[in-house]
Amino acid sequence: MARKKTDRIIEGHDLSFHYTVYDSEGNPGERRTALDGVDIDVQQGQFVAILGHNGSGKSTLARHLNALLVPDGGTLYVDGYDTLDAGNVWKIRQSTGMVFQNPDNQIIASVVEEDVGFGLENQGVPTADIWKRVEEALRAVGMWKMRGRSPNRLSGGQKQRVAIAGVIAMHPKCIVLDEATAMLDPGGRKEVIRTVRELNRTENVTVILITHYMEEAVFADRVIVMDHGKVVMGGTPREIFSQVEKLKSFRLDVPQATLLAWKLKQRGLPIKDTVLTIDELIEALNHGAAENDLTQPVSR
Amino acid sequence: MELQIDHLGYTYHPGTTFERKALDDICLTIGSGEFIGMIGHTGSGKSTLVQHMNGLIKATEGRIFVDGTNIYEDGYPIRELRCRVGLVFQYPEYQLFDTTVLSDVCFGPKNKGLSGEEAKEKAREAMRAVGLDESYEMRSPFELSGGQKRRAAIAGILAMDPELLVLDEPTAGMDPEGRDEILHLLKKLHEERGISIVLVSHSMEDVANYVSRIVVLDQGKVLWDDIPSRVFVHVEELEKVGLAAPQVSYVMAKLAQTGWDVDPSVTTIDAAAEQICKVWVTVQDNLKQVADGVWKRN
Amino acid sequence: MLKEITIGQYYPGTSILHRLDPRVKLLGTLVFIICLFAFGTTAAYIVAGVALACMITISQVPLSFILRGLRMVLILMLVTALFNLFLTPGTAIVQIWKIRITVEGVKMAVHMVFRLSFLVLGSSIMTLTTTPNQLTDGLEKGLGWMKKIHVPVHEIAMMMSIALRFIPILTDEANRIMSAQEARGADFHSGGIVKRAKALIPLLVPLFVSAFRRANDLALAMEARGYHGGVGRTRMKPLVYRRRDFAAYLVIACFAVLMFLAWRFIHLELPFLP
Repeated sequence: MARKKTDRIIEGHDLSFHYTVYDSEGNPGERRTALDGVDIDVQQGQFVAILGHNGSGKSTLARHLNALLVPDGGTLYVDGYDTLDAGNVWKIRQSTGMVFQNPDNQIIASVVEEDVGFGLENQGVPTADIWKRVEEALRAVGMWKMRGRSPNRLSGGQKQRVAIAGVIAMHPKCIVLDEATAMLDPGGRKEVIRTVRELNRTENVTVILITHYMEEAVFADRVIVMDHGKVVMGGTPREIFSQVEKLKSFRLDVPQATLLAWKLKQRGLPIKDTVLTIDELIEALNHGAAENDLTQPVSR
Repeated sequence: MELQIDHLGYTYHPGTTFERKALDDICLTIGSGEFIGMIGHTGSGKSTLVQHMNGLIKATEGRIFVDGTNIYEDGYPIRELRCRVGLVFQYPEYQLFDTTVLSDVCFGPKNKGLSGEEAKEKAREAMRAVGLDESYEMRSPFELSGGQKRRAAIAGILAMDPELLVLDEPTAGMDPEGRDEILHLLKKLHEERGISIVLVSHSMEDVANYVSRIVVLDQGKVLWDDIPSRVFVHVEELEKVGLAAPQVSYVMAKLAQTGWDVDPSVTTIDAAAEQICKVWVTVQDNLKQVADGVWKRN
Repeated sequence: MLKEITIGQYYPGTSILHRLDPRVKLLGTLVFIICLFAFGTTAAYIVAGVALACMITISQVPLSFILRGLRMVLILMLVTALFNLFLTPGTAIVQIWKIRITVEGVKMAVHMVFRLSFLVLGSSIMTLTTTPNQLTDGLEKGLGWMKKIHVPVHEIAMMMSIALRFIPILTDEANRIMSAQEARGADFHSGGIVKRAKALIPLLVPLFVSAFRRANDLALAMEARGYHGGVGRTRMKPLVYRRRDFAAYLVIACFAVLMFLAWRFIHLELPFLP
């Protein structure tokens, strides 16, 4: 039950997790490794992206952060609470909220506002406070106007924003998005990313974003790459995305702008740093042109 | 085969309070051997439109001609059409049902009326085409990985020998490698078997690299129907309808704005790199010549 | 075909019926149904019919919407009516060979048709003016006393509300899988019973798989948001009786009394009516 004093919201050391595969008769078969000696440290208020291909163990890790799974080796502290101690489960789930992949399968109520209130009802928050916090949360994700709607009539991006509101209404210190953008269209993805970045910036909520989309990871303070249940790379987006070939070996790619810059650099253009966004690439190219004493690169 | 969509319209629940026009005056011709990308945000009508192509949904207005014959005529062999136009639904792995991959893939050919052996032959061929070898034949489809399941489901359609393959967001929810696998597979099918392909997607990056023509849908209407380079120059308009051009298009557009003599209609990374380098080298040469000139004059 | 179901489909509105406490509406519907069975005379049914007409008017739900519920039970109604019509012994009016229609039969048939349609209309009005969630809330609170005899009221109510939320999702899914299999040449619409039943396997297997996957996801999502059963839970929208609810209880009581009086004291002798 005891809480460890720490400024790190997540502190995991040498985590391992195995699960057993059952055959069609229900007999236990081989044991597969999902996490293998994972060390993870996240400071309060950070924005961390976790990348990795399907089956790399990133979703398993996400479920540990909310004590939905507990490690069978190593230790994991979330907000100072040991996840192995069953008495801490509800405190951990209050301090770390989760948003899952399928928007349809995580909305419980038939009205938007009732769904946002669900977690608070579970915590036993008094009715008047529930309403206040539901309103705050819905306004924070820009869904207040839709509070009376049925979730079935919302777009994918809107459903995920409702799910995020449901989490932040519980006033968590950390939100984990487990491939929450995977099933959305580009507009919906932008919506969700904009929302969590805003929460991270204004409310200092720790965000752990698990994704397949490299463009979403460029906004992170830190990127972690997983492969075969291990953490294989870690660093700032710039450090990570500069290693185009290494990422490819882990079955990942880099944002298109980064890849284009990398290709140009290989052809000998003077691009110094790793480029993450379109604007950085334009900047780098125009800067390069200027350095070569050419403010108007081309005579038209 | 040639599929011609003629002033097609579709209204959901006509005459009720839920009436909603999903498609409005669509005209489109899909020629033999084409590889077409169809893009539009969620709810733009693309899923409804593709279900018209094999007659699963009957239009409320307009007609569809297959090789010149109206498919809404009495007595048109609609089930035969469903074999000729193979439609792969979104998340097709959710339609797998049989105990082994082979028998699941056989489902289509058997419905088509092939005998057990012929169906198996077709199924094996289709499984090979999607990269699932014999070792997968007797496995349960439910124990495959996500990417394998999806390829097995695509094999289930391929086994019916379609002339036109329509895929509704075949890469949704997949990791980068899974996406590339599926897209390469489509490219191979198109090149080697000459199957026409309609690829429905909301990922511009996917579409830009593979298709030779793009149809953009918005609110049930065809907004553009053109080659990729001419569609993606409409960066702002695409954003307005909830889509986005590939990042490369943005880069080229912005470079052109800041005075670079590049072609803004380039849509692939390699072509873009080529262009930028060419401009760069010309600039360097110009510089050198200017410098040489100055030097000579002195 | 699956989209036709109206029971459990809420029609949004702001009428007094919409605003009533769900417990009142549940009890009202119950009383209405009991009265239909207990007081089955012409006079009583006229009272019930007038009450029903009033409720429909007050609810502001379009009549076509309410009648749609009737369409569902049309076949059931026809079968019941025909059975009663031909199989009730009594004084024959028409007799062709061995088939005879009796006065009692006609009376029974008419009676059944009215009873069934009143029943369906009455409960449709309740479901159309009450969101599924209010309904389950009403049940949970209204049946709260059953917890004392170890009936898991909260869990049952939670299951019901989740089931209600997932009905449209699973309906869509069923339609999608059906189309997907039709795209593979499956035929759900022709052939004999055995063939049709067999054709359902490619539909049912994926549907069950998907339902289980969703259930699993949902359980995870609920757990992640701290759900641990009904103990220690508060409510965002607790049910509180207002003045209109007490008034409604009074109306229900009056209705029951009227029905009783009509049944007990007014005897209308109409041909072919019970």
